Amino acid sequence: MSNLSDERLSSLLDGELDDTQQRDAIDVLGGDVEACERWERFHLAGDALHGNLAEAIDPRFASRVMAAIDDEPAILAPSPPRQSSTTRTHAPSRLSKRFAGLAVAASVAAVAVMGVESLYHEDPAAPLNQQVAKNTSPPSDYIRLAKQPSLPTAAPLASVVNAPLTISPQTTPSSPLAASPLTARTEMFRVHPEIVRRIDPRLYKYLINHSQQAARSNIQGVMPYARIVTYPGVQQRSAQR
Amino acid sequence: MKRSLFLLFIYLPFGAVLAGDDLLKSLSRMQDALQNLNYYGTLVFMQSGDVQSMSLAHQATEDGGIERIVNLNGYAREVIRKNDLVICYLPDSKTVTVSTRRSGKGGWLSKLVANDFAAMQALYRFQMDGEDRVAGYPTRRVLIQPYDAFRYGYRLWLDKDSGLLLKSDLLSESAQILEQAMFAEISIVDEVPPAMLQPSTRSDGFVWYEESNETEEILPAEQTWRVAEMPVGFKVVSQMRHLLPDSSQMAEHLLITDGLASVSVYIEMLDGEPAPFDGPFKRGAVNVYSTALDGHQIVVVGEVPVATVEMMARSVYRQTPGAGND
Repeated sequence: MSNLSDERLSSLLDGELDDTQQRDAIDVLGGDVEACERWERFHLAGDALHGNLAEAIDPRFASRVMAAIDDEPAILAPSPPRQSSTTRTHAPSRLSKRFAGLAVAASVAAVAVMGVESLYHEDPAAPLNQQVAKNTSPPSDYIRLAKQPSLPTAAPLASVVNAPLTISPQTTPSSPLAASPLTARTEMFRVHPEIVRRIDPRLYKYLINHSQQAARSNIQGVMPYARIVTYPGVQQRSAQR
Repeated sequence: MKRSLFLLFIYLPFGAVLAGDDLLKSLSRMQDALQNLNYYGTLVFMQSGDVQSMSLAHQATEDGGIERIVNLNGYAREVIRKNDLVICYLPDSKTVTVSTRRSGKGGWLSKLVANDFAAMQALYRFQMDGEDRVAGYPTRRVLIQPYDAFRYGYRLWLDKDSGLLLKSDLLSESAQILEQAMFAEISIVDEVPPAMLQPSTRSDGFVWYEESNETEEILPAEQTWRVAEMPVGFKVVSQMRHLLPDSSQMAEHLLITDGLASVSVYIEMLDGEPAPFDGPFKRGAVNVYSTALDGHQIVVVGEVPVATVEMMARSVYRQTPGAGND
């Protein structure tokens, strides 16, 4: 089981932790493959939302990533050896380097998933509905997350797609086409609270209507109404305005 | 005592049947109590690590009762149900939505009466699950566990005396608690003070969406949208067309249930616009799966595992008119 909760990871991502907490969290992250994977997904989701993914596809990016990875093997290996007490009290520069390493890995993972998505959409064997989705030009953040309009063709991406394979085999499948891109996408939509805030208003009308309609046959009596009055998405959205 | 033990032995082979009868009685009483008792209290609702409380009041009437539930935390969203009319006041989005329930008269109880209980027992294991005390009342617990991973389970706490549902858990496919609702306190009364059933929201300037005027049932012959794959036990109980808030087009709505869990499938024409979202989404116990097909947005919503909404969403198809009803 992971020692890092989603909230903790999210706070780390948002820079809300103090120095000690940050250091502790990063230490845990370094030795926790599962948390590392979640961290990558958080980053990926955040980058996608903030429109940073296009930059990540810069062709030179892969080499920069690889260079960074070469500098940081201990952090990016799935199961790094336990840190000694001396490295625990590392200097700030070391700390930010670790941070950079993780962030870089996350960005690579982002590119990988983008690549996988792209390949997936171009797969002639893809289900019909996926083909249709591909043909619509998507201005919304949500679709862009799944398929960037400015995305280069799949082939040049191959090197980038393959890059993270050496870093975190647990997260990235050995072949993009053998992957389950849907699962990757599922995970990343699930985890990031920012996405929840974005997507909720649009889904809200369906959630409410469903609860209104379904209540009568519900064995739990008023539970559907309780759901209507407690859906948090719209509250958060309004609070942000 | 001895006598009852003796009887128990005699009836042991029929134990399951007896337990079923006992359960059916408990659940029927619960449904009766929910509809026929007058009560008000504070309901605590837990979901995804978040706790909220709401005030709830129910007054039975000859034509279906009045119910009001208002959130005591955050925005004071409230739902008032008068018979089959469900009105949601949503101060955060400054909207009021009015909807008419079409899940059939008598609700859950009618399914029991209609002998569907046997069918439901093929999908869920029903069992008595000991006793407990909730909101000061002694209760009997009922555990309902699904046999497959396409639906959730329930644990219900029923007041021994009145049968009223005082606490309920929604359990995931791996029996984790997804949602809990519990009365922290409840008063069962002769009559609920009328003020407790009035909306407290000042809805001046709110946008009203009255869906009831816009709803039409779709006749079987005119139904073109279908769901090809559903987990065993799920059936389409209603297919209608109505206007949802913020939509310019009528949405087709299929209401699907296995007797306990319900799923809605919404199909909206995209009108050349891109699909606003794609893929799965989770909000507490509710799973959503959306996709696009043939210039339409398909959104499947339900208190069921993601596998169920995904299966349904991905198998939605449009039957060409005149092709017959398979």
